Amino acid sequence: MIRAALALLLLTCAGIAQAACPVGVTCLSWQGDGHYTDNTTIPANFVVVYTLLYGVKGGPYTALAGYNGGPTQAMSTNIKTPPYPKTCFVVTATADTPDSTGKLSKQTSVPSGEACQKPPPGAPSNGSIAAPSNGSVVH
Amino acid sequence: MSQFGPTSRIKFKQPPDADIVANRVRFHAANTQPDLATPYDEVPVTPPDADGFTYIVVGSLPKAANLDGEYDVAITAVDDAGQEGAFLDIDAVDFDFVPPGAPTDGSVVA
Repeated sequence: MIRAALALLLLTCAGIAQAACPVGVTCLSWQGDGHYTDNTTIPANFVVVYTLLYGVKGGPYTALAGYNGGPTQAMSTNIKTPPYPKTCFVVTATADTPDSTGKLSKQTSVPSGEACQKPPPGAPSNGSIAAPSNGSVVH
Repeated sequence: MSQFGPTSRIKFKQPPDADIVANRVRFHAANTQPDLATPYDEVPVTPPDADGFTYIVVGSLPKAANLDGEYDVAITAVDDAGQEGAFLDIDAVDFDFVPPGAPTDGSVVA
């Protein structure tokens, strides 16, 4: 039996503007589930390359960065919101995967679920320049 | 055309988003497209008046110092994630922040 890609990962997009996630930053975290898609366990000493990708909702996605970790290691990174506004992020995992003869080859998982940033605000409206009014100007 | 000095106010309505924390104000050449690359002043959101308008006193903005002539005023909203929204552009406002020069040839006559 050939084991296909890794089983899927959990990708979470931490809340915006939380204490641990400064304004203007999107905090992403994920964790591999430690299994191949046939539910066999990935050896704990195998290095898994987690690739963070970004793109519009639904894809296509472009690789942004890669991170080495263990099969079940909790990973996180912070992405400065600009220049990645209006984007969604996914993670894939690549690891050595043995075939039925024990020969290893690199296999990559399907992408995780999307973690999407919220859209930016709309434009202000009804703009004009007003003369000073009594009592409303603070010098 | 009226000229606006430092105590004049920018008047606008915020977009409906509930997560707006600040507005950015840019002054750029009259009747040109606003540009995010233009330096800006950021002003924390203040409660609107009873009619829903927000006001920013122009003279409180450092980038407005020494404005003299026609400028467009571009305003955006910024949410709590630091994302900046689209522009509201107020066209061709005639600012005059430069005080007049001193009188000359003064004397006291009998």
